[in-house]
Amino acid sequence: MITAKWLAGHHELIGVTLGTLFGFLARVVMLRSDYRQYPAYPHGKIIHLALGLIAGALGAVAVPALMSKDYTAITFLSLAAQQFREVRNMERGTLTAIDHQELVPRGATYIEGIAVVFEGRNYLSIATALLVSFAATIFGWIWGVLLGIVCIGVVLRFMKGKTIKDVAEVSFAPVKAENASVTVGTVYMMNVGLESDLEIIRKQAIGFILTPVSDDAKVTLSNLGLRQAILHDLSTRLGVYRDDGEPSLLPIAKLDLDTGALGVLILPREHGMEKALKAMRDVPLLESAVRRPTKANKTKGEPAHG
Amino acid sequence: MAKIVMLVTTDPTNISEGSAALIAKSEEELQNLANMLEKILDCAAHKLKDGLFMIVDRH
Repeated sequence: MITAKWLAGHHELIGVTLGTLFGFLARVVMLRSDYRQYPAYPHGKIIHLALGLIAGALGAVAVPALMSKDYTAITFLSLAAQQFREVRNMERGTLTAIDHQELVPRGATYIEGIAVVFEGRNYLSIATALLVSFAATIFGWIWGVLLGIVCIGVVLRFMKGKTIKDVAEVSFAPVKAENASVTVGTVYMMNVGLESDLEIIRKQAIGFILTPVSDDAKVTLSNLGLRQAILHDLSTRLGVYRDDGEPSLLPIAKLDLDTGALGVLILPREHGMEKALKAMRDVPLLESAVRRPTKANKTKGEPAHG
Repeated sequence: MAKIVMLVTTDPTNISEGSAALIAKSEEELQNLANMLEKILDCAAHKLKDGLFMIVDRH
């Protein structure tokens, strides 16, 4: 029978249980299946929930092990790190394999970004479990629960990355498809020879101009991986008027070299202007695309790596 | 790099001897041929000027 007296005598057990629970809970709240559609199928979720439970348990048991002066227990954490790097490889492998079958591919940069997020979230789970287990074992279970709630709040805050609207002003621009040339605003996009394809572009295409808000944003927007991510996300959220074997009907993004603005041409199924604008503003800013040349140029001496 | 697969033209003086090219009798036939070639070869049909199309493979 579990009584208050029994609980008082089993600090470590409570610490481990609470730690595992909150570590797992942190992974559950971080596991998203949204318009990026991954992991969208039940088995994909099960894999990540199971790994989340393992992450939670590993983080939680480290505390009592260390308290009983079993310092080698710390090597378990390195084992966990190895495991989660494997998760990253798995995600990268799966997404790269299915990317060839997409009408508008994600691109390597986006895939790398998603894979890193999967790995990172497992570490957040471990950290949550470790802290909760520590607090529950040392100060009592109430403190463990309180810290767990705080940790989940922090973890949710970590999930909110930056989006396109942080680096660029998004506006619509007219699409012109005449005389074999397709332009969005003043940006030349591509040459399309067939009159029938030009007609489809005139009817279906929506054009955006992304004006960078700073010099740093200019360099970030010119990243090819980010551009592909924009095209993929917009095509996922708004649908895409395209098929295999139609190379002319291609969503495309090109830079205006004079101003650094990015012209984006998409062929959506859904033509709601508000939806299109929101979809564009919500495209995640890929970590590996972000550049800060203004900051890099301020560094004195040799640039430091690592 | 993109590869030129074929040329289609209404004017034989546009093409040099030995190049893979089709000669169309009218602008309408030119569009038609370019369209068919685009679908069959899974290549993009680009227009260089009036009466001259280039079928390009970007795979």
